[in-house]
Amino acid sequence: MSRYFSTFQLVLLALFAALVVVAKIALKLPLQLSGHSGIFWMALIVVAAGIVPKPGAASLVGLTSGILAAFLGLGDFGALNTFLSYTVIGIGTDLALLLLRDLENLTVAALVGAIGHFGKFLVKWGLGALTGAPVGFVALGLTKAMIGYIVFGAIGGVLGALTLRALRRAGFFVYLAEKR
Amino acid sequence: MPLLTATNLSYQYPQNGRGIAPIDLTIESGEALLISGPSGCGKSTLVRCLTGFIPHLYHGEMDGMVTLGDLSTAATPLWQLSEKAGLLFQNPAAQMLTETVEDEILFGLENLGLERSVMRARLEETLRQFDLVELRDRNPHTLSGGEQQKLALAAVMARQPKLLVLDEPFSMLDTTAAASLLADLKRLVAAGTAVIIAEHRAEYLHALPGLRTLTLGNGHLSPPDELPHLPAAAAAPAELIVEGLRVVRNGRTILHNLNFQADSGEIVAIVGPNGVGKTTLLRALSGLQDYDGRIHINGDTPDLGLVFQNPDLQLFNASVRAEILYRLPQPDMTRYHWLMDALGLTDYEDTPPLLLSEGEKKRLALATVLMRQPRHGLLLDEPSLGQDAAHKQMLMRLLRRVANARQLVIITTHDIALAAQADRMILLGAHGFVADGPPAAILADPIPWQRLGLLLPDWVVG
Amino acid sequence: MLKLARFPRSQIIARSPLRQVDPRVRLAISLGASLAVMLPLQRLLLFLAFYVMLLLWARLTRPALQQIWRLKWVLLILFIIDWFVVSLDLAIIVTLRVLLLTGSFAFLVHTTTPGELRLVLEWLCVPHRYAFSLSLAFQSVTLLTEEWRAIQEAQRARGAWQPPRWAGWRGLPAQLREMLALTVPAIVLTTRRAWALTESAHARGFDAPHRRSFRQLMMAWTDWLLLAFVACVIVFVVFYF
Repeated sequence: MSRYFSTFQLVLLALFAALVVVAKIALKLPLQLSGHSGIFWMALIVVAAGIVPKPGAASLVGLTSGILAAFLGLGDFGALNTFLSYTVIGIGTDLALLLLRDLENLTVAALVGAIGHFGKFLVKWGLGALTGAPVGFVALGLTKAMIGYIVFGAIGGVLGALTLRALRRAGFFVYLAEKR
Repeated sequence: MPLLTATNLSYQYPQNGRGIAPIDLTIESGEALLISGPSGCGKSTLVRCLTGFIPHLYHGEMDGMVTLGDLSTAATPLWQLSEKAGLLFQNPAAQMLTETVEDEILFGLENLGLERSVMRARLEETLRQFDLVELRDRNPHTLSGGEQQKLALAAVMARQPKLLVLDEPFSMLDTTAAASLLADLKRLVAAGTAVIIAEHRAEYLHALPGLRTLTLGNGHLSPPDELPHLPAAAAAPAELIVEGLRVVRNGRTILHNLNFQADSGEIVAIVGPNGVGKTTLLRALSGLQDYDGRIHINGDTPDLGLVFQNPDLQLFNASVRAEILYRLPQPDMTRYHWLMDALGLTDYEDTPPLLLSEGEKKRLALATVLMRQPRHGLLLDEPSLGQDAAHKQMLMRLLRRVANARQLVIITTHDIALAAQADRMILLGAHGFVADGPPAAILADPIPWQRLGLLLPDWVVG
Repeated sequence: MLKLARFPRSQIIARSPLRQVDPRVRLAISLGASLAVMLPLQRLLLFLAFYVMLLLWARLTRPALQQIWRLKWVLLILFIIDWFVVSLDLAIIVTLRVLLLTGSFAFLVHTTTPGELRLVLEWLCVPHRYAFSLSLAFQSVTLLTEEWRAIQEAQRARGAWQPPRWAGWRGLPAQLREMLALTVPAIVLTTRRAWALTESAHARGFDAPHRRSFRQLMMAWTDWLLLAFVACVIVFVVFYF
């Protein structure tokens, strides 16, 4: 029976989701800026989408990592916010990939990373609006964070593209081509 | 009707032309077949062809025909083939799919679509048969390597396939776990299960009654007879001193007050059951692990290069050459060429590392460390894992050259044949060293081995 | 300095009486609590009183308080600014809503194991292969954390990588290239692990069309009772109060 994602792709994406959570928790760069964890986060999502080049791959990584992160207690604003943030980043990346294809191109990957990571801002805004906080005020408070999301998302996209290029040079895609 | 028939079976991987030449094979109930051959000869490929994993999970070109009972493997879905033939892999830890031992066994039973009462009965029976009752609620990842391999076997056999195929099942086990697996295999063969084992540690398997052998490939690696000396001035004599070494990780004491000395120029093999802290000891000696106590060489902090068990932890460059020369501003090219020659990598200079075989990758990882020229010597964690006899011979010869250049060489291994070639053997148990001396003397004394719960292989006892 | 922190322990509160309740009821309570965010102030206060009692009964007050403590400055600033910029009423209701939203899924995430979550997802008609991949992801977090650590050690041991120090934005491109010594092996190892798991699953009949789950979700009468009680409270708060 033909499936949209093969078992291997499905397991691989699930493990990438786990890797996103590991990177979020375990790796801190020496930057004193909030949101910089997005670098690894977006890099891994870009790599996942590059390795499993099907629409929905990034969303599945986002959704799975969202459930993992929520159940593992990540994020200060509770499980719902965490789940939505991770999921929307995946969906945002997939939407960006509908227009932008070549993930090994640094500019494209930076754009994809920035758009994907921007989704986090939308979640914060949406939940802020849901609580009844004045929308303008919420936007003002989140503006600084939004710039951070875009910049670190773009840097993450670049790291993802560099990783994909290095993987290609190291023969990874030849190894991958044997597997169904 | 035979359980399995392979007719004119051949296969080629899509990218690099590796694969297996045409083979004919028949297996009946209760038969045992050993597939032997050097690393890279296609043993793993063949077992995947026989169980239908090729062509269902791999691209590439398969010719000929394999039938399991009356089912053609190419035309039958994999889930259906897996009811006829169970496949067990090399690395038990990488096969664990669920959160508990019980669930691990149930995973395969659920896929058979059995009634729940039947599943429960099979679960209990399997737990009893494989001595897993006490472990039923444990997380598989907290089990020892031997227990994990037993569980992996139990999870496959709970489905009651008529044919069991094993891909290098002994390579990661210590001698005790290997003996336990062998006992399970004997029991299964006696009960009528046909068993096919791809393995180059064949010393364990000759105890299987009626074992047939199929040898693949004739390309045995023959390392050059003469390996020139390591192109480096011999270092001054040095003595490694370890005093009161204690390592605590995650609240658990792994190493208890270890004391020992080792001289440059000797090869020391540290042997012990899985999980006693052999790797932790190497990490402490290399400076990667925090510890209490003192480790020094002639009063200095040791500079010992550590070669990890898994080469994939290190390889990321575009070619073998780039990998070895990475971050070396003025590489010693004489040493580089000597290493390429000594490790049999000369033909692969431009090959991307990830396309090398496991054995080649291990040798490449060793080359990257040796090229850095650690001042005092080398530490190697399970260097013979997955290597055939010729590769082990090549490895030992290189290590001897390194030792001759007055460097210290320490290896951890559960490969007794490899350890027997060292200058000194140390047995490490859960509470410290149990024996220390020349390998011949250590192997001749069964008492420390009994204290560790390790069985000596037949070739030693005999 | 690039740090590799220890992974947090499981959040599951084993002694919570909710552990004995069907996970679907826990999910329903969590969804109900998150929807209650939209209630006006008086009803919200009443619901919060009920919510706190439920937390006390479920022995989940400690993790709930920990969560609030992590948010203390955000809540304080939010409260003060809303109060000064708009009104005290708005400040109270926004703060309470953020609190409730933050804690609404505590009933689920602190009491539900990955295995139970898989059963709930399958009950919600998520195909088994997706639910299975999620449980693999749960199990892999600790293993992958160890692998990251091992990669860092291995690369340091051969001198291929050093923990980066912040050298300004200009040094960023070089640092990103430096990171390849970690990201490439991490991707390769993760992919090999995924392949090994794929083969292992197929060796035991994965994707069989006639699969039958051994474990089942069973609603006991006490589960129905709790569900009905929570539903009644919500209906009372929304429609009759």
